Amino acid sequence: MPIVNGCVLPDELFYDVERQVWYRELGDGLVEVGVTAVAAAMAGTIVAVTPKRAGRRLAAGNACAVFESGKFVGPAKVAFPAEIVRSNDAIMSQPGLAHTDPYGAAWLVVLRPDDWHAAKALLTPGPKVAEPYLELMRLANFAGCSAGC
Amino acid sequence: MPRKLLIVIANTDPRNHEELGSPFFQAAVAAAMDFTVEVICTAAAGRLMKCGVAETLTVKPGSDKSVYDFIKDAHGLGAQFYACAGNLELFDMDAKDLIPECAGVVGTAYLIDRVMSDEYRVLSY
Repeated sequence: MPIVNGCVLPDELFYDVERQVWYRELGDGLVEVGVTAVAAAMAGTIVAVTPKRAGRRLAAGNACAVFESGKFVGPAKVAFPAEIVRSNDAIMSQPGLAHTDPYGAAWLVVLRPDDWHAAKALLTPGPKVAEPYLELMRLANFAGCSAGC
Repeated sequence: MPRKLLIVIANTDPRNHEELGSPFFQAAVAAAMDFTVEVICTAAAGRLMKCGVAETLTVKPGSDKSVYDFIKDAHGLGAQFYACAGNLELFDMDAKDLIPECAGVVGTAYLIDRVMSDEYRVLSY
């Protein structure tokens, strides 16, 4: 599992590095979506996370959720067209999960992509994500995640 | 459900700094949610569209984030900002004095048209 500047990026996920979003294959044509530990660390203390509701259609580049910290607003944008089939209500009452469990309880939505095969071609598989993430951190002048990130 | 939000900032006085965060933060959030967002600054708030004004103001004393930073965040997420035509003279401004994030000057009829439209929801401050 790559650990880049202290930030964990699990192997089994697919990444949209530019948008700092991860995808997990669930089977049955569904994928789970969240934002990376790096994104959460860059945002500072997240005070609200609001996923969009199940049933919504998303175009490529649309937000599936919005993160808010005291001074920051950030959308979690999807890379491909899809329908939201589940939405994580729990994270709305526990936004800190984005910091403590970014690849588990902090999932945002489950999507049914229109064409997951084509969508996957847009993403970076976990074993190859370290190098592009290092570059992203360098460009953002981001030192890295603190212990436990 | 309407997909467009108009935020009218009219009664938010730049002299009351703590009033300046919410309108711009809400504009940023709505834009991040993929809604079309327009913000019209008029009356006392019209000054916020003038170069050099918002960057001297902070919502919280001592904060390192200026009101202009809030405007830039919302603009960066897609919110469109406008100044009110009738408002410019009040502050001895013309179009060349506007901040780069301000898309231009609109008349009161532009505002009223959107307020009355079924396509928009309106928040006013």
